[in-house]
Amino acid sequence: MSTTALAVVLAVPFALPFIYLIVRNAGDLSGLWAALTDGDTIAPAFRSLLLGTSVAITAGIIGTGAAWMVARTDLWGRRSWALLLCLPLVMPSFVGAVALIAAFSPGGLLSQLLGNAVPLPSVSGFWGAYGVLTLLTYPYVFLPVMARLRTMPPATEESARLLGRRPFAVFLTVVVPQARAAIAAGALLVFLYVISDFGAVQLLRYDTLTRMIYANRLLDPSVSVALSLVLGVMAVVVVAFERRASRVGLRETQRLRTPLTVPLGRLKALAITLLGLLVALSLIVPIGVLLFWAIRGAVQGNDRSNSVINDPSLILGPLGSTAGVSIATAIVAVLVVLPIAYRTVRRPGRLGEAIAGTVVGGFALPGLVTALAFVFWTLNAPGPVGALYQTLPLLILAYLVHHGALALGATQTAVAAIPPRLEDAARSLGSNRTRRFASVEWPLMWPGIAAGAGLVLLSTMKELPATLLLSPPGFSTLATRVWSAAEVALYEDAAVYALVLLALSAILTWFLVVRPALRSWDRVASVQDETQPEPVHVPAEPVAG
Amino acid sequence: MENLPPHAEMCPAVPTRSDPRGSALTVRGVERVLGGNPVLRGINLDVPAGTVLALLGPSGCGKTTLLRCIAGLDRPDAGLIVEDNFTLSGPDCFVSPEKRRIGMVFQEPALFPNRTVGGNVGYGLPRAERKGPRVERALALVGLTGTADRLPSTLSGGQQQRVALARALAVEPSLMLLDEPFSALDAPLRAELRGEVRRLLAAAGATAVFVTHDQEEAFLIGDQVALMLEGRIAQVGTPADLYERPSSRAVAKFVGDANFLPATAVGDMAETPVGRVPLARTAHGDVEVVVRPECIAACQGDDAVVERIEYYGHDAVIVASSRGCPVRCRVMGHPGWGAGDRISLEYVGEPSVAFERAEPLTTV
Repeated sequence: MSTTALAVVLAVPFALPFIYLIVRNAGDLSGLWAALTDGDTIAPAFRSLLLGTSVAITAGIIGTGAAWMVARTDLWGRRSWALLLCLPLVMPSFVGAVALIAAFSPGGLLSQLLGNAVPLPSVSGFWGAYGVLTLLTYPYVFLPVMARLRTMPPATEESARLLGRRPFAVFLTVVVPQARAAIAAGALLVFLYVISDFGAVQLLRYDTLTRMIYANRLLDPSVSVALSLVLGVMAVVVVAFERRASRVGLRETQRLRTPLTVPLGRLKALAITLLGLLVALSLIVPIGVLLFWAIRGAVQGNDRSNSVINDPSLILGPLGSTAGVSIATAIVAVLVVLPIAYRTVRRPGRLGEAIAGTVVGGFALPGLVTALAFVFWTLNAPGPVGALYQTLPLLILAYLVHHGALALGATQTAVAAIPPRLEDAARSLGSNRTRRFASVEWPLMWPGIAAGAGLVLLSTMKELPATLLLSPPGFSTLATRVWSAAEVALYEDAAVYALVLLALSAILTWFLVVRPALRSWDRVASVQDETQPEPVHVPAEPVAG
Repeated sequence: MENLPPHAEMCPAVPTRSDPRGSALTVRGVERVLGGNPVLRGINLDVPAGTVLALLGPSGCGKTTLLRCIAGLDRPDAGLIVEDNFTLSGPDCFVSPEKRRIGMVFQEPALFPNRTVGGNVGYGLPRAERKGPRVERALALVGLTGTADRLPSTLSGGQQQRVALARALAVEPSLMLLDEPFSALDAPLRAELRGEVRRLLAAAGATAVFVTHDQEEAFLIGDQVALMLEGRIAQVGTPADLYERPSSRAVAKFVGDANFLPATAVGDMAETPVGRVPLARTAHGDVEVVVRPECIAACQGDDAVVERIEYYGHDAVIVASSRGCPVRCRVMGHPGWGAGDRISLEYVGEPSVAFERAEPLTTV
């Protein structure tokens, strides 16, 4: 079979959920029309858009501002801030929501601190979801804007300063416009994250599309399917814009030189307070709340025999399932994606773009929608397809469709890094296809492929809605355990599972995301050392003697 | 720290002048260490108001660092930078770049990609004047009338650099700094812009510092040329001073082609392999005399042997051996001799300079 045919066949599963949604809705146009015109469905769509837009704008402002402070000012410990500000990526939205609810719940951390006399505000609804999602998603803007700031030609900012504008005016008139594409790409990713989010809005009871889809899946499947299509189309459109924006961002890069450093002067304390508050609220406080519940739960004990507090070995089952299913998905993803990466990198063109676009489309579709499409399809199908319902292979397929694109990006980079001349050289030395792969290509590619597999592993581990809907009976992961414990307000159990999940995901994030990022940061720094050894400090105010 | 302008005052130091013409720049004892390496080692410079100083030097000599210190983009570790009577940078005083009213043009145009040409040129002007005659005037000055509404990306590299120049000139800076502004352009365009910049700076009456590693460019643009070597100013003077009366062997070697001929000096005359050479400064004993190749005339004779001819087209260099010493002699057109021919060499230039011998004479 040719590489092209193989790549096309392997790309088909990624399109299945979307095709299913279209076919299903096309078969029931009156139902679709009724669902789309009903006020009960327009309102959640509006709420999804409202939440997505508010969070995207806020995260955009926070992420851009934080990136500028870390990349362009004389803040202390800029490298550590760069690291700390990325860390909320580790936290799944449902864990953030659990922490928020647990903090405000009766008998929770706040009521303990303030005494029971003070009435606590309700955290459910828009503001709770808005807060949790903003704090967890600003790194999606922070990271691309940091990258853009590092490649921005310093001379434009220097010119602006020399032409008489103060540092903050330069930020607004020169830096932000040049980082526009990166900010837009990041904000669109945040928007996608929010409209796709299931865990936080479900726990915080804010009725968005995902919550309506989930609620109607049993009562009124046609509404569920119609709303899934609406959400799916929204997500795919957003991803299309995001890809365009990040491509624009790539085009404008220039050579590296140490940019001007803006001294914050008296504002330094304020800047550090703001960034510290951000890290505290998005990371330290949630973990603190979880630790509080877990430790207090362990100290006080309880009389439930199935509580993980009483029997720590109960953690082993979900831990094993999480690890097993995630590793399996990562391996399958790499195997499926490698031929696609080969085809799209080695023979770029329309077809290649279509194949890669299909894989990315699978990523764009919210996990809940993907999972529901598989549920409805296998539930109603006879024969072998029907037999797949609530089996591990189907669960892994759903994971693959939803997270495969993460492996594709890394694998494409790995394939692109092999000079084609190298293959020609091996061929001219009489090496056959298998030997060329084993002796030349694989050794060069495997670090990139491993990184891709790691990203799939990391995301699968934290996946909630697909696991909830497609797990075989009796199968539970750490994520579903956090979920089910939180739903019945057993926060001490939820906290234990959440902390284990966070620890696992933090370790993986360190090796897969943070360490490579720091290395490239150091590489940039060492390049700068050769050309211009030291960051330049230029006070904004005349320094009076 | 000697020779401060008599009424240089310390902070505050915001230059507020009504006179748009340039101001005098004084640099005293400026030092800068970057990453443990001393990049500037006690720089002293005086640029009189309304003149252009070409700062010449090989790459890595610190000339860009000095320029960035003057602009306020970098802060010296020691020394003073004074503009007219205002201290821009001193031991306990530093004026931020946005308050210096200094115009700067970089190697790359560094235009704001999101603004039109007019938006770029008007960027430094007061809000009310950002769209209007001042922008048009600045664009007319650089020959780009009518491009105000275009985006920088639609212009050629040379045009973009002109816009950068217009942007810097539009604010009528008291001091213009140009950091190898033509190095990214090709040779014919560079020559054209060089003349234009010379004319523009003269018309604006601006004081300017022009950094370049190209000796020809420095000589054409600078009223004065400062040669910078390894973090120090090696010599300041008119182009002719530097070329004809270099202050050291290193200067003579960097500026143009030179023969260093072993000689015996007696007062204002030296005996060299190409005959007697008059000296501008008296010397005695064993010396090396700087003799420019074009200051030697070749004719039919028997003193020297032609080793080879370097033919450049409009001129040529005869590499000959005279009394065991290699000598380069530049003639217009093709010399008409070949390797092995015997010729006579004669010094025909102005009084030259002699230095102590760098290394013992090696006999061929």
